[in-house]
Amino acid sequence: MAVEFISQIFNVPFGEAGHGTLTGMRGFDPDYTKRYARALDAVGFDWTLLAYGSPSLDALQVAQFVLNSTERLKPVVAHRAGFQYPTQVAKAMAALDRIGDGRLAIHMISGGSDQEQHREGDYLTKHERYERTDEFVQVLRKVWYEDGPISFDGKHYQFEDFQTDITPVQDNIQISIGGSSEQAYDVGGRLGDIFGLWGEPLKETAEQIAAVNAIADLNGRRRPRIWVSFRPIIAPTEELAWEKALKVLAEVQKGVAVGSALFSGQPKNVGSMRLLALADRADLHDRCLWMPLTKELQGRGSTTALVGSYETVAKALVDYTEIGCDLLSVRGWDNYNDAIDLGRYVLPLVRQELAHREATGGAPILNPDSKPEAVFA
Amino acid sequence: MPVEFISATHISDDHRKVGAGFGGFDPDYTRRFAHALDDGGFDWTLIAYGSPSPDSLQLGQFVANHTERVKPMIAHRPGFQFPTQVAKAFAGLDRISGGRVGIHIISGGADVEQHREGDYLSKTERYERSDEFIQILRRVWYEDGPISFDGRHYKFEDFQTDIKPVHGEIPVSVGGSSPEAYDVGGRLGDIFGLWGEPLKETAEQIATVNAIADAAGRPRPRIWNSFRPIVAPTDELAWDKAHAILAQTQKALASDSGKTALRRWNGNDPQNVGSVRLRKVAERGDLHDRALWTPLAKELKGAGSTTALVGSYETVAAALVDYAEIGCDLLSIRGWDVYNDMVDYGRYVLPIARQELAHRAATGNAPVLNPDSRPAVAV
Repeated sequence: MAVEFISQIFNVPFGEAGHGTLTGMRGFDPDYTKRYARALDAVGFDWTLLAYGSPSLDALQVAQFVLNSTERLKPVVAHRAGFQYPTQVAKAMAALDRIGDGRLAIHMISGGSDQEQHREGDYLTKHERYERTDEFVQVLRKVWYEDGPISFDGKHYQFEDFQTDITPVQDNIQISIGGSSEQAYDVGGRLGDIFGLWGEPLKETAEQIAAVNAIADLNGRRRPRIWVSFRPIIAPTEELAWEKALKVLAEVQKGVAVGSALFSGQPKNVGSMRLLALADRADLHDRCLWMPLTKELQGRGSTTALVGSYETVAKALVDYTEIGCDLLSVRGWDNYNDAIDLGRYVLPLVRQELAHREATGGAPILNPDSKPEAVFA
Repeated sequence: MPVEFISATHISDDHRKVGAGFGGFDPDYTRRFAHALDDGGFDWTLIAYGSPSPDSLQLGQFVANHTERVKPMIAHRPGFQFPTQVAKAFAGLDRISGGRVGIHIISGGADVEQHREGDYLSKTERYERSDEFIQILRRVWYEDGPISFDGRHYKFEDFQTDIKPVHGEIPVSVGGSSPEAYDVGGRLGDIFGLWGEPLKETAEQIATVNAIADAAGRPRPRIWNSFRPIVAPTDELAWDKAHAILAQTQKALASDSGKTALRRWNGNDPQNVGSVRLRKVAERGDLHDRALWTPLAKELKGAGSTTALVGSYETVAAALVDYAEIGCDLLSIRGWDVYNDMVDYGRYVLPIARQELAHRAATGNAPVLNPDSRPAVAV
C-alpha cells in the first residue's frame, strides 16, 4: 500500500501557539472550513482527519461539507461510539460514500476521559466503552456488506429485522482504531483496517506496531495499516526551524498560562501518559522528534514535533515508513499556514524519496544519517 | 405568517414500486429533485426518515448544498442519536445553509419499526423522550455557558459549544394525532403537522392543539397539512388520472412483492392514531369537501400522507386555499409520480394558490376562484 498523507481540518482558527482561539473546537465557520479543505486538496494531501469532541460539530456533517468542497481529498471521519445508533451511522457513512464517490474512512474513538464522555451523557467505564466499540464496528460491517434483514443481540446493541438499500460505493470502507492501551491494541488488531498512533520515538513506535500485529496475526486477520501523527515545525533551514520551534514553545507556554482552566488536570489515557514519560526522558529523540511541547501540553493528543528543514523532516517521515507506518499525519502549530507549507515543501520530498527507493531497490537520495545541526539547548 | 408550500424530497427513482419509497440513495437523482423543488418555488422540502433510509441530516445537508432557496425540514426520530449532537448538527447545518433548516420530530408510530434500530420504549415513553429532546435542543441552541440536564431519558453534565444557529430560531415541528402528540406539539412545537383529513376533522384537530398551546401560554403552532394531489388541465382529465393511479396501486398491492413491501414498511393495518383516523374517514366515503379523495388512503391502509386532492389546477388550488382559511399555513403537496407531479404543482398550482391568497389579503377576502366550485366529474 502506498504511503499516504493526512492532515486535520479545523472548523475555526484554532491553535495552542496563538494562531487562533484555544476553544476552537467549539465553533463552526463554514467559510473557513471550506477554505481549509480546499487548501489541503490543492497541496496534495490524501486524507483529512475530521476530529470530534463534545463541543464540536458532528464529524459526519463536516464530512459532507468537505466532500462537497473538494475533488480528491478523502475525509477520515472521527466517530465516538455511543452517541448515535450504529445502524444510523452505517447508513450515514454509506450515503456519504455515495456522495463522495468512495472518498471516506471512519476513525473510531472509544473515549479516553470519563469527564468528556459525561458531557454528552455517556456513563460507561472505559472497559465497557471498548466493548461497545467492538460491537459497533461489527454492526457497521453487517449493515454495509450483508444482504437481507439483519438482527444483532449484543451487550450494548440489540435490534431486530433491520434492512436498508443504502450501500457504500467502496467494497471495504476502511475502519481505523486508535489508542495505546491493551484494549485498544486488542480491538484494533482484531477489527481495524488502520491502527492510529501518536508520534513516539522509532523504537517505541515499532514496539506498539508489533503488539498490534501480533493480535492481528493471532486472529488470522490482515495486519492493519499504521497511521502515525506528528506536529512538524519546518523552515527552509535547520537554524530557522529551531528558531521557530523555540518561538512556538514560548507561545504555547503563554497559551497554557492563559487557558489554564482548559489545561487543568492530567489526562489519564495510556497514550497521553506514554507521551509524557517519553517527554520526561529527553527533549530530542532519533533524528528530530522534539517533545518539550508535549510536556507543556501534558501529552494531550498529537503533540510531538518533528523539527528541521524540509529535507530533515521529510527524512524523519521516511524513517517511520521504514518501520511500517504508511499513513503519515502531519499538522503544524499555525495550522492553516503550516498545512500549506507541509504540502508544498515536505510531501513532494517524501514522495520522491519513496518512489526513488522503490524504483532502485532501496537506494536513498536523502542522506540517511543527517541530523539537524542546531539543536535547542 | 404567509402560507408556505412543502414537498418531500425523494432520493431514488424507484418510488413507483409500492412500499419502496425508502429504497437506495441516488445522489444524482436527489440533486435533480432538489433543483426542481428550488426552481418550482417550493418554500420547504420534507426530508423524511425511516429505518431503511439514510440519516436525514446527511440528506438535509445534501439538499442544502445543492439549492439556493428551498428550506429542508428534516425529520428526526429521537432516541437514536444523543440530543446534544443533534442540536450541534442542526446548528451547523443552519450555518451551512444560511439559516434554512427546520426539524420535524417523529416520535415513532410502530413498535416493530422502532425495534429495527434498537428502540424498545413504549409509545408513551417515546413521547416523554421527545419532550426532553426538544428541551435540550433549545437549551443547546439558545443558552450560553455549560449546560447540564437531569431528565428521565437524558442525563449529561457540563456540555458547552459555540456552534449556534445563524439567526433567529430553528423551527421545531411536531406531528401526530394522538393525545400525546397534541400535548407535546401544543406545549413545545413551533409547527404542528397533520395528514390531510376533511376540513371539519382538520379544524377539530387544530382546535385541540391550540387549546393546549393556550393553556401552556405559548404561541399557537403553525399548522402543516399534507396531501397527495392529482392534478390535470381539466377536472375530467384529473379524474381519469385518479382512477388510473388507483388501478395501478391496486395492481401493485395485489402482487407478492407489493404485499411484502407494504407489510414490511407500513404494517398490515398501522395502529398509530393518525392512520386509524385516515382509514375511518376513507370508509365513510370516497369524496369529501371540495376535492379530497380517499380511496388511495383506504388501499394503503392510511399509512402516512395518502389522501388526494383531485381536480384541475384551479380546483386543487381552491381546495388548498380552503385549508388555509381554517388555519393551515404550511401546505404540503407531493404526488404519485413524485418528480413530475412536483414539477407540475410548482408550475400550475402554487402560482394560482399564491395569487388567490394575495388577492384575498389585498381585498379583505374577496375570492377570485369560485368558492363553490366542485369538480364536475366525481367517482
